[in-house]
Amino acid sequence: VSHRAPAIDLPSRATIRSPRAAWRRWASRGALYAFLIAGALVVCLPYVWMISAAFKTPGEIFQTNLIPREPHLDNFRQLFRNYPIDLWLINSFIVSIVVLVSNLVWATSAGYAFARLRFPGRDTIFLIYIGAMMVPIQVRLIPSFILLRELGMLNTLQGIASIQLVEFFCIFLMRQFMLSLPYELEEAARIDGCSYLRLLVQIIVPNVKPALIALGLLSFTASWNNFLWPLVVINNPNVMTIQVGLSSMKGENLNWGVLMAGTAISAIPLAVLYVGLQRLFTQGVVLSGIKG
Amino acid sequence: MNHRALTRRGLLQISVATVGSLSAILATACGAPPTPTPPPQAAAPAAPTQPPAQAATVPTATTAPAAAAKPATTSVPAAAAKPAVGGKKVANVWFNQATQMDSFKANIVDHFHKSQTETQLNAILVPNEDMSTKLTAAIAGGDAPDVVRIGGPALNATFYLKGATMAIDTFDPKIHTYDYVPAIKRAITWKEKVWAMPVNSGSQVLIYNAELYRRAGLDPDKAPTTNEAMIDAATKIRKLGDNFWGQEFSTRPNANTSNLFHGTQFGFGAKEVSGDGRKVLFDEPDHLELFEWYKKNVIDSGIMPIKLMDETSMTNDFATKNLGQYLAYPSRLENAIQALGEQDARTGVLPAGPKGSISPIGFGTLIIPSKAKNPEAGWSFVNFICNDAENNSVWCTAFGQLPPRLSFRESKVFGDYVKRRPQLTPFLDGQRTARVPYFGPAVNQIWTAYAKAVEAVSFGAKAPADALKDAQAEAQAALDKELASGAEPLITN
Repeated sequence: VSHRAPAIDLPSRATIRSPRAAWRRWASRGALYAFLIAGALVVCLPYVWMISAAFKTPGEIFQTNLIPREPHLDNFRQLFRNYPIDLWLINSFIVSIVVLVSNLVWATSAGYAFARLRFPGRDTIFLIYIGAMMVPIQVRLIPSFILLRELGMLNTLQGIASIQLVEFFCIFLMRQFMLSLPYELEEAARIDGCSYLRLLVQIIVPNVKPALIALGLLSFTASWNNFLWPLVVINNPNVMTIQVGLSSMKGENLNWGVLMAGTAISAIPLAVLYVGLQRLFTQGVVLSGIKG
Repeated sequence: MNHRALTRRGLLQISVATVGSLSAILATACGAPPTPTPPPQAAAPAAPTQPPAQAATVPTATTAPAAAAKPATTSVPAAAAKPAVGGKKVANVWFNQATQMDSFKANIVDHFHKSQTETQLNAILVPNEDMSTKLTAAIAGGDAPDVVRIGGPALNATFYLKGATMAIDTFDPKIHTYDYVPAIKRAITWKEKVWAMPVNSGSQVLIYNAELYRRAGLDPDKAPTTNEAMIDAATKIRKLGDNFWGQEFSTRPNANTSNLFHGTQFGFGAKEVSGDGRKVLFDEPDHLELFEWYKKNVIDSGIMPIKLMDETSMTNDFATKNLGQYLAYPSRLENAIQALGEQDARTGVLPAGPKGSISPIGFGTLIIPSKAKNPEAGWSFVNFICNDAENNSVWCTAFGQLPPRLSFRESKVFGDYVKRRPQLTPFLDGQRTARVPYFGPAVNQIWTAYAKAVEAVSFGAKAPADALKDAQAEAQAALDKELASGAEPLITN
């Protein structure tokens, strides 16, 4: 017996839509595109200005033309000749990679514990973590500074990295993602005698790759762009990260072109990462429900 | 749902794995700071202010002429002794100008090290813009430097009003008797104590391009002395062609911008805050008269390019040789001379407005933070560089600035400098009668509000009256908030 409904010859959507409805549809779509283009311009314009200024002469910097009249590379030459930009970039890479790996390890293990294990005080501890997320860096600045001073870690890369090694937001993110995994995955493994550590490494981690990518990118970006904490704990130019190094170029006779050249270079690693991992990042964001 | 209980063994395994991984990462990656090739120090960009050649060959404190004021020989307060390096005390000095850091080390730090063997300076660059954040954290965190170089009355006041600096009276009881430029003394005295040691000074003058004056049919040996003559000169230069601009004023919306506007403001007799320090006066008629003059003669007349401008961008524009003139402090003089040459980079006194020619005072200080680890070592440097005429002149000539004490102008080092740089004379003239702009509570917010008004009028966003009305409201709200939180008003009656 066929349960299929008899075919009916329906008019296509286009034929039943009145001209007025079509016009309305195009108008709304046009408005939407205009809005999105305006938004994109607002977001992109500072970057375009930055790149443009990096190739301009000092006298042309604050003029409104976005395309330099006489584009040149002097700003980049001066940047590499006069400032230890390579050292600042290396320092930023070291700190950001350490923070990234640390957060992946901590967030995965703690996120798993909060999402899938039962132990006394689990929800209370998690609430404390959530509360800690709400405390801004400005509030923790002085206590953390004193702690670092007592540990003798001022003016070190360890000192810069230390405050970001365990980010509660990352733990929260992984917990939310792991809550969405089917329990059957681990139940089968547990029945086969799999330990918790092996379960985490061999069963859970392969299934949370998109979230790990998103988390890794967010963690790396936050660490790379971190300014306030390194500014406060670092005095030695040899240990400066790129953001603090760029800031140290400010002063009388500031050459905006050189500063913009440095800023453009500092943005390259993040741009490459985001473009390269765009698909996985988007997938991770969607699956873990990150917003804003 | 079926939840597995966490076994003791499982918890232990997870803990060991995470802690072990983390330790391994930290130990390998963060073991030590990277040590690639030693970096060059932050150097000056395209057109740096070069210290005069003579700066490095000046007499030390021991060889200074007898007429020069001698450093004070006073006791310093007891302080926790800091570990010495090689038998020397170490003083951490924060210097605030990135582009002058090399000059600071080469001319000042070396000069100090050669003159004595007891104290070692550790020079650290902290840009002015980051100074407040960094110094506040360092003082609160118990890791304050021993000496900090601070620029301008506003930032100085910001720190000493918060109790972040030690009174200089503690180190040098005779500080009140020194012949500082009156406006400087006024700006660093609070509750009858001096809270910062002036190390350099400056006033505002007109820097102009003599070659453009010639081409515009103006007399290059005769600088304009009134606002009307200044605008007239700018108008004639503008007529030289589309690429030539007569005059520039700073238009960036920050407190530093309004600082560059003070000279013009004072010429109109416009006061910023009432004598009791409680009411902002941007709604007074003098300010409106100034803004309307500015809009009509500078903006609407087309003598100035309409773009964001600050002291640096104006200096850069002047270096292109297409800008006729602008108002500036002495640290810009060397840039102008480098770009235009000795003959064409000229200066004239600040052109007078309806109420005369009154320059704003510019100055820098050395402060000793209230929780300095080694204040006595810090004071030994401050005393050396600020209380000796020749040593102070080394500082001033290295950075193209003026001495803060009138008698220090007579030093050999500074006298030679003025002979080489006759363009300094208008700065010295303006310094004597200079006025200190408002520097009390909410100083940065008040001047930023004023600068926003300048910006709004410059870009045609607001009429002068509306711009001043908004600035008045914003500045008054900021002042009220500060006073309500317990700040003491700056009384100038």
